[in-house]
Order: sequence, then C-alpha cells, then structure tokens
Amino acid sequence: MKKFIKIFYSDNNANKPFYVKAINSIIVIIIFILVLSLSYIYTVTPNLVEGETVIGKLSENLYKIYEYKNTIIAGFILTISISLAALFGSVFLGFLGALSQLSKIQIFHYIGKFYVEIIRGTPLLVQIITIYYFIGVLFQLNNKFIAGVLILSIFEGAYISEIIRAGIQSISKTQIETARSLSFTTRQTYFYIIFPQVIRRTLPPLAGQFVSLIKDSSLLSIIALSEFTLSVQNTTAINFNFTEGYIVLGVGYLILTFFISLLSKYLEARFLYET
Amino acid sequence: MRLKLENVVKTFGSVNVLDDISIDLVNKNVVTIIGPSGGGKSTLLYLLSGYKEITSGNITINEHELQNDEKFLIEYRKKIGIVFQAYNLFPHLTAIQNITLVLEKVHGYTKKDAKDRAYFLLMHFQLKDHKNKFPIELSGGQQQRLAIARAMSYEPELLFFDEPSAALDPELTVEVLGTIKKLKEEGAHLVIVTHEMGFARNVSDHILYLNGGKIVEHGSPTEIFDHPKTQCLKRFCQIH
Repeated sequence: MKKFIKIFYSDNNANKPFYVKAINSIIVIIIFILVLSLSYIYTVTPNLVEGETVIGKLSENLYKIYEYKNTIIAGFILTISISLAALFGSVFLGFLGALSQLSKIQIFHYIGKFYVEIIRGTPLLVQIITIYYFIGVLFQLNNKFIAGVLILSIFEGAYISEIIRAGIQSISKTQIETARSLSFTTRQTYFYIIFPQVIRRTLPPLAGQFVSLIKDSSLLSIIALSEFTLSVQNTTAINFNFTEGYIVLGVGYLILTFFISLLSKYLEARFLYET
Repeated sequence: MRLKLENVVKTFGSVNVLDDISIDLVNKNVVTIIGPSGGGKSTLLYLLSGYKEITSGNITINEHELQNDEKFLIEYRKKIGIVFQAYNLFPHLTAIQNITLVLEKVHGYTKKDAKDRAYFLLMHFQLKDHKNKFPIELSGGQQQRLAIARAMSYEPELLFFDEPSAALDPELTVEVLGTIKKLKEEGAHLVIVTHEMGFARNVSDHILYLNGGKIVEHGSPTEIFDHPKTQCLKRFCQIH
C-alpha cells in the first residue's frame, strides 16, 4: 500500500524514480486522449450514415487531408522558414529595442519605450493588417514572405526587447563596477561580462517567446500567405473536415514547439553555472 | 609607497563622507585604514584606487596625481588592483578565465601568455586543482584568493583591499589574511581597509584611524594600538 501511494505522491521533485515519472506521464496522456476521443465521437456519431464507424470516418477524413500532403508539407516548410527568419529578426530587433530603452540618449530611450508599448498593446491581427495593407503599400512591400517575416519580427521583437532589458538590468551592478575597476571599456564590459550572463538568464523566457512566435505565425494566413495553417484550411474548405484538419494543425505545431523546448533544455544545461 | 592627500573632500548628496583630509606619507609600503563603520574607510580606498571621483582636493600616490578624468582613471586603474569584500568574480567564467579575460582584453596579453600567467598564479595561490571550476563551486576563501590572483595578475604597482575578510568565517579569514601577509613579504605595496585589528597590527607599516570622515589619528601599529592619544581611538581599541 505504501509503495502504491509512493507512485502518486513524491515530495522530492528532483530525484524521482523513473517508474514514477513514466506511470504518471502515461496516465496524464491517456486522460488527454480520452477526453479528445470522447469529444470526437460525440461530434461525429450523429452524422454517421448506416454502416459507418467512427474509426472509419476518422481515417477517411484524414485520408482526404493526406491527399493534399504536398501543399500541406510546403506550408509546413514555409512556417518553419518564416519562424526561423523571424527568430533572427526578432532577436535583432529585441536587442536594438533593449539597448535603446537603456540608452542615455533620450530620443532612443523613448523610441524603445514607444515601440514596446505600441506593439505589446495592440493585437497581432491588427498589426498584420495595418503593416501589410497600409504601411506595406506605402513602401511597396509586395513580397508576402518578407512582409510576414517583418511583421512577426516586429511583434515578437517587442516582447524579446523586454526580456533582454530585464536580463541586462538583473545583472548586479557590482559586475559592471568590477569590470570598471579592472579597466574594461564599456563595450568590453557588455560583450564579455554582461551579455554572456544575460543569455543564460533569459534563455527560459526566450524559449517561451520562440514557441509563441511559431504559433503566432499561423495568423499570417490572414494575408493569404500559404503557410501551414492556411494550407490546411484550404483543404478543409474543400472537404469540410474541419475537426481532422485542426487536429493535424495541432499536432504539427506541437512537433515544432516541442523541438524548441528540447533545445532550450539542452542549452540551459550547457550554460548552467550558477544556482 | 608615497601617499599624499591634500584637503580631500568626498561628498555623497549633501553628506561629507570624507571631510578635508590631509596627510603625507613616504616609504610606507603597507598602509592600513581602520575605524568604525560609516567612518569613510571604504570611500577613501575607492578614491585612492581611482574607482570613485574626488569632490575636491588632491591625491598623489607614488608619481600618480589623480585626476577626475575617466580616460586618466582607466589608465591609472590598469596599474593598480582592487580586491573587494564580496570577491566580485565573474560567475560565468571559470577560475582561470576570470584571470585570462582581464589579461587578454585589457592588458593585451596573447592567449598563451595569459594562460601561462594565470596558471602560475593559480599554482601560487594553491588553486590549480580548481582552475576549471566556476566561482560558485569554490569556497569563500578560495574565491577571495582567486580575486587576489586576478587583481595582481597584471603585476600592478599597488594593491587595494576593501575588507577582504569581512565575508569569511574565522578559518578562511586566517587563510586569506595569510595570503595578504605573504604578498607584503614579497614586497608588494598594499592599501588595506580591515576590521581585523590583530592583522592590522601585524602587517601594517602605517595605520590611519578614520572616524566621522576625518583622520582622527595615524601612526605606526605601536603608536596606534599601544599608545592611542585620543579618547575616540582608545574606545575603538577596547571594543576590538
């Protein structure tokens, strides 16, 4: 009995035996799948024609999506490329935003603040439409891919700028003073002392932001950029199998974001030097 | 060491932390600053080490006449070393990198020279087994010895210590103070702020007793500890 309880109750979070992790994870996954399947069965059953089974209907609908696999894979790859490009773009803008917010030159300071407030205070959907249909037209930005990357970079860059700013400000002042006492120049202090520590500290929130970035890219479907979401939506518009389509979307995004989680865990372990 | 202060004042806000200090010392290699907390000890050390700017007055150390000019101070600080109470190591660098980074980036050593120099110092301070450890993995005493090694890695002409043992337990205090004493025996020129009176008596050529932003008394260890002139210092010596 005691051993049985031990499977479900542990006050030592760091050193759990493998079977505790395995059993509990499997139970959670089973509950999740159960809820999902029950809802699916509940939605599909009333519409079944005689002779049809739920499983049969599911596989039939999934196959209809599978028929468009080339379009969908192309969309998936486009989502990866947009996200990857926007990742670099947003980190660049984030750094720029953070540094200008911390700048002693007041106009930069307020540009940084304004950027963050405007972008964080308005919905991404509004930004996509404003930037693409108004500002984009003014600058004759016709390439949807570039527009998409730009919009995403600007949007996520505002959040990343706050993460980096907080990271820089969290580095204790004595580190900067020590660097000064050792005659490091300001530039050297940033490059060799502050940034390396900022990277380590901001890795977890940055990973979270990158996950958001990938998911937010789905909204770019609104400007008819045929990324993953739009490519699946297009097939469901033909087949009306919305449920299955969105299941495929969910799984697809999960694969991408799970990869980011793994990567950030690995990087965190690599940069681990302080408790 | 030559140490000359002329009417030195340091103000923080409206408070005179150092209030018109003058002194002229010649040939004193180890100068110790003692006194109660808030008496201006650390502030004086920070002025002497070019770490903070003087409000008014003149300071001359050896042949350096200190100026409130960041360019001058950067060059000056390259010739001196500071050891802080809280070690102030760089947490993202290993023990050996804490030394080599300074040598390479500030003092223009080649990678190899910096490594050789750092290795020599780690040997000297019995830290060679810890060279690839991060500061967090070292004991307080080891961290402070590493900070000392870093401060003297570029062979500064003067070393400044700001209460180097204040954050250490008694055993590690002995270890770190022993290290400093060894530096003196090797001929280093030191300015030390400390609360350890036994150590101050032992190591100093000259002692400054600071209280209320003024040098209340100064002299050799015997003069200060055995024949204190002012009531204030007598009381201070009784407490410690």
